[in-house]
Amino acid sequence: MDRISIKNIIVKSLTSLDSVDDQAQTEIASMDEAFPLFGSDARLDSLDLVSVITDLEEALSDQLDYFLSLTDDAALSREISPFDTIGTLLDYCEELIGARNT
Amino acid sequence: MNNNKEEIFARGSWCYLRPIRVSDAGMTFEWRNLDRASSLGGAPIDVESQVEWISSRPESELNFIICLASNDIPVGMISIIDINHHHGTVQTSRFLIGEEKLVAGLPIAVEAMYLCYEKIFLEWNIRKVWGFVASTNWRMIKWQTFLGMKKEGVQEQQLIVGGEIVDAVLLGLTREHYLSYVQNRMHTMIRLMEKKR
Repeated sequence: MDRISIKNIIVKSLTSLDSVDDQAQTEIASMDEAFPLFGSDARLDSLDLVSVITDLEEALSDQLDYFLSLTDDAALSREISPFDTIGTLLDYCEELIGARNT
Repeated sequence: MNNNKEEIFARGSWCYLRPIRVSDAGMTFEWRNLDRASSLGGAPIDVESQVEWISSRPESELNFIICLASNDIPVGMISIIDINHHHGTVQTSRFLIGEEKLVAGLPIAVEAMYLCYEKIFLEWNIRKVWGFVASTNWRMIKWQTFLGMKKEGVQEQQLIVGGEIVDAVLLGLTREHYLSYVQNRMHTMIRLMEKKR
């Protein structure tokens, strides 16, 4: 899976959330990788973040034919949380998929 | 910070749980009438009926207000009901974040659930937690299954939500599954969410 395909899954999941306001919808729709998922300036609560993670894990597992956990100890060991922004989450997904393929 | 240990049920790094009080009626009335709370069903029609509801809770259930640990501000509610020591089961229920903007970016919801599960499984030695969610409340079903609950069945046409008859999805979590998998997953989620940018 390429970065654009993964990003599309994240964007689709984010835009389905009722709690994402109009301004955030605009930022997400513009595919802004700096959009904060979690942290001090984020606009998602933990229910929203879990919803996005679940959608992404399910979609990636369907596409890859194996379960890809995004919330294990490997995620915790990173200096910057994979859930910091859309961009860091994309980086993390690509890294996990790449590691599995090597 | 609230240091009244007598009235705090459980305390975490980000939030604590305290029993609901009659003085919470106005605030919880507003939360229960938010659009996103419609799936809980049975919202109070006025503050007086919420006062009556709070005052008449049976001993078989515990109803909590979730407060921010940093400033004591109430942000949501959660209940442990149908406590059955014979069968070793309880239900978690009425989980609602009322102040979404105040908890954005914070692992409050995860920690509130974690605090309940730690009490239920480790202190009370309960065997199983169960609950049901309206089939239309997909966000809560995702949330509960992500945090370890398993879908155990569907009760058809069980609930009325917003005037519509909907199915109830039954969910369950055993102590074994909690200790072997879910506890660590929740702990990891909390630590991931508290990582500084």
